Amino acid sequence: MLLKCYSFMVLLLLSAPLAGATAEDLLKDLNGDGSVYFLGFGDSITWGVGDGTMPGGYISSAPDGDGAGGYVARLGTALGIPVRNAGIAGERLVDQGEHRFAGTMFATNADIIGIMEGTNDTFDGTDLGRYQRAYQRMLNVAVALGKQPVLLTVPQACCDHGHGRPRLSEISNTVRRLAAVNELPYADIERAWMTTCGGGPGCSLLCMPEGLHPNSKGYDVVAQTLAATLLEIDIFAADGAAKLESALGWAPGTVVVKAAE
Amino acid sequence: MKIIFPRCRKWFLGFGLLAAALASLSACRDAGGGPAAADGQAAKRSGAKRGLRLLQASLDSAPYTLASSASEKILQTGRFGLPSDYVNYPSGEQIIGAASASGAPLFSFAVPLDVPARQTVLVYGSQDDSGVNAALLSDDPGEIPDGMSAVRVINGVDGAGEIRGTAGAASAGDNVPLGGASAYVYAAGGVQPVQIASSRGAVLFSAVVELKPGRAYSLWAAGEAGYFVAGRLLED
Repeated sequence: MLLKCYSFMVLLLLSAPLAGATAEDLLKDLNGDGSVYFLGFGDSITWGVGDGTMPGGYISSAPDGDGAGGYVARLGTALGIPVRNAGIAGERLVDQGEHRFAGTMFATNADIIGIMEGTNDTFDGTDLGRYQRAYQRMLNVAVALGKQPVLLTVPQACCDHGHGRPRLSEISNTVRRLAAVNELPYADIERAWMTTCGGGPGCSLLCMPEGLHPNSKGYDVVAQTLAATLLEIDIFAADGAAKLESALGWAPGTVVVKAAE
Repeated sequence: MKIIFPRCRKWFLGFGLLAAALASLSACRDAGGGPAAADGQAAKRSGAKRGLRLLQASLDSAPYTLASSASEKILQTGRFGLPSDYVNYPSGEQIIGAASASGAPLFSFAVPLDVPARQTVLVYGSQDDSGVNAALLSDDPGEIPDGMSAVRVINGVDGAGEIRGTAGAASAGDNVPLGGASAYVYAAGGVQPVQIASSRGAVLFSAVVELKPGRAYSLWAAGEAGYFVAGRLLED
């Protein structure tokens, strides 16, 4: 009996981290309203701050944008689906984003909810456990309302914000863990940054010298990585870029995300 | 009523009422404007009278898995606010356990030989506030009178205090504490309005449903008062 109980406890503990994320047929009209509709939820990086800035340019501060750009608009164009940008610049997930999330979910017919938030939590020193619980709360709301959440890890920083790199990695690891235990798909933006930033100091995907918000190329990378996730394409595979270009009818060389070596 | 985020008390109160109204609308819409069907209606009631299910009501918790010391397989995974069908589980004395998919916590219940035919493991509470806990509930409605349905209330709403429920004109349970279930009461079968409310009167869930004669149901509310509450009618 003792052995049986021990085996039982081991079974329970082994079952704890559920097997990796699944992404089965993600572009689905879940609410049956006739369209597949995407909503992007997050902070300034969802809103599109910094868009319009090109690699190699140096600017004193990233342009605020009007919410019509960024990765959300690019995704809509790439996939040919309606999208809504629900980003708010400067927002933390803890105590801020989590509070407006349920209301946002009730007020939208979106089928797919992209969540990328945590950069401001990083620089505000938010407790990671609290971050994980708040994020879990949001995922549970979305799933209970019949929506498909897609998690996004956060871009890495550099230069003036380079001191945040370790914490940003912890945030991204938390996002990966949440995706795994909830069996939800995620787009690994941090990994795309690692493969695509380029050598040398800084990162060709970020506004410089602030090193926090993506530039136009950076938003291309976010949108392409997310599109690949939604289409169940491994963008980091050797043939990932070609597959995405083929799926979207793009000319070869359009995808800027680099494969993992 | 405990409010999780006191600075937004008014907003949350308004939102709670809006959410309840939307939930009601949603329930009606899902049924094409008519009565909503009970979640888990497809559950096998069959000859297998034994059954176990997991209801996950903790809003800030990951899915939970259900297992038995008498089985080498995971019996079920329960996700927040979603209905779970009953699953068969081994007979005999055993330990039933529920573990978070994130690794902790883990709850266990010793189950003797003479268990009720059907049981529910309810995970409830909040990691941030009240703490997460679990309860093993008996789902035995007894002998249901002809033409009647059995209905009860399960409280998985953190911060709402005691809750109550109604099915048509019948009270389905009063002063049901967090983590508890009321005794089954008998309500007239047929299309009926059902409602779950906090003891202070805030409506947490309402819908128009069809109660089938001879069947047992649970009015289940899950989540956190003032933030998000999911209400369901489950067929037991």
